[in-house]
This record gives sequence, C-alpha cells and structure tokens, in this order.
Amino acid sequence: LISTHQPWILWYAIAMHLCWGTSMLMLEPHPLYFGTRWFLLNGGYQIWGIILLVGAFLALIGMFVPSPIHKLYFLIPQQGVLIIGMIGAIVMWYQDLAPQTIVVLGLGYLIPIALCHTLAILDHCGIIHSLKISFIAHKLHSAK
Amino acid sequence: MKSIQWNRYLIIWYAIILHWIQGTLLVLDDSAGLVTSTSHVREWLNTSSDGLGLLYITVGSFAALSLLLLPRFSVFRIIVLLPQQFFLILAAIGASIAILNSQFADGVIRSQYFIGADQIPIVIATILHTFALLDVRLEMFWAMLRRK
Repeated sequence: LISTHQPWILWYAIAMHLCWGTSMLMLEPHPLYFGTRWFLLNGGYQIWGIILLVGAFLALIGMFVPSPIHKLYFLIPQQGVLIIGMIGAIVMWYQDLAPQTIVVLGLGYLIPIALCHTLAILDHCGIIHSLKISFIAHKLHSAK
Repeated sequence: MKSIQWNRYLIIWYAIILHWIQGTLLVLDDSAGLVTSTSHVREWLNTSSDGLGLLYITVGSFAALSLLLLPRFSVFRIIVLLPQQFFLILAAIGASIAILNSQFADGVIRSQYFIGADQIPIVIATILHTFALLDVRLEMFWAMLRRK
C-alpha cells in the first residue's frame, strides 16, 4: 500500500468522512456545535451521517476501480460533501458567535482539504495527464 | 495511465498549509493558543503562543522548501520534513488526550464521540503524513536499488 504512490489526501478524506458519519449517527440526540458546519441541513444529523458514510464508501470503491472515468464518478460525491463543508466553514466564519480566530482554527482546515482533494481527483482520474497530452499535441500540431 | 508524482505529496502540502494558518493565527491572537490542537503542544514545549506560532511557520516553511528545492532522491528531503512530522505527532497526541478525557483544552466537557469527531482530522492527518514520508523514503530506496 505504501510503496505505490498513493493519493494520501483522498484516503484522508475517506477516513475523516467515515469517522464523521459514524459520529453524526451516534450524536443524533444531541444537537451540538460539531454539526453546525453542515449548516445546509440544520439539525439533520442522521441524514448527514448517512450522506457522509455513503460518500466515503463510494470514494473507497473509486480507489479500486481501474477505469479513470468510473473513478471520477465514484469520487465526485465525496468532493461535493467536502465543498459543502468548505462553504459551511466560510459561513461559520461570518455567523458564529465564537471569536473568528477560534472558528478559523476549528474549521479552517476544511478549505485546504477541499482544494487539495480537487487536485488529487484531477490527477488520480487522469484529467491532468490528459490535459498535458492535449497541450503537447496542440503544441506539436502548431509547430507543424 | 501514469499518475503525476505530486499527488502523494498533497497530504504534506495540506499539513504545510495547516501549520502556516495555525502559526499565523497564534502570532496574531494569543487566544489561538487555547484551542485543543495547539494548547497541549504549547504546554509541553513550555512556550508562548507567539513562540509556537513562529515554530509552526518555520516547520511548515522547511517542509515546503524540502518539497520545492531539494532533489527527489535526497536523504535531506526526509530530514527537513521530519520537524513537521514531529509537530503533527505532538498535536495528534494532544487531540487523543482530549478524546480520551472527553474534555477540550479549555475545560469544556463533551462526549467522546463529539470530541472525537472534532479532533480526529489531526490524528488521521498525522498517520497519513507518516505514510507519505515512508512513501518518499521507499521511492528513494527503490531508486537506489535500480541504480545498483
């Protein structure tokens, strides 16, 4: 596993969503601060827990699917959940009553994760590679 | 389909950005030192928020320089990445203590699930950062064998 140049950030997001999904299902009777980052579905802890778990399991399958385009289909739900988390973190920065420093320290990491995850998907699904080939082909064609 | 090599470094870049953000906030605002992920580290190193902030920025910058400037198969690349690994481990231990005690660094008591959900990202990041370092190390090892 370690010697094969794994996209660790994708594994990171999967592990995190599995933990968060499980926690949200367990926390359901207690509407606590943790859930506020998922502001889009206020209080729907169980539903969000299930969405996170489904996203993580689909991404997990995507890691083992050989076809790049199928990989993309399986990884996109997780990317969507991360983007929602990122938007949630930004909204909390403006809305939360806690000092902004604390909010950034508590939730700010969701922004680099979402951005790094986007790059990792683009690379892992061969999109950057295809773009590079198209660019080189275009250069060669123009040189002719 | 050949994947570009930098993909596996993204977790290291993530840790770098995290250290830069945390470092800047620690320098700008002393209350940042009370957050669970930084509080224990500050206590163990017996340093002020400003000091810890500067340390975070330094280790993040070292790691970034290592990825950007040092040659791919150089042992120094790993050595310069190690301080970041060390600080991540400290933060992960602090987070694990909070989870085990069911208590945030500021004294707020919550269930283990709650604190676990809140603090688990740093623990997972530390584990995968270790894997990424081993990955870099193994790449150097395989390259050395191939050369022989």
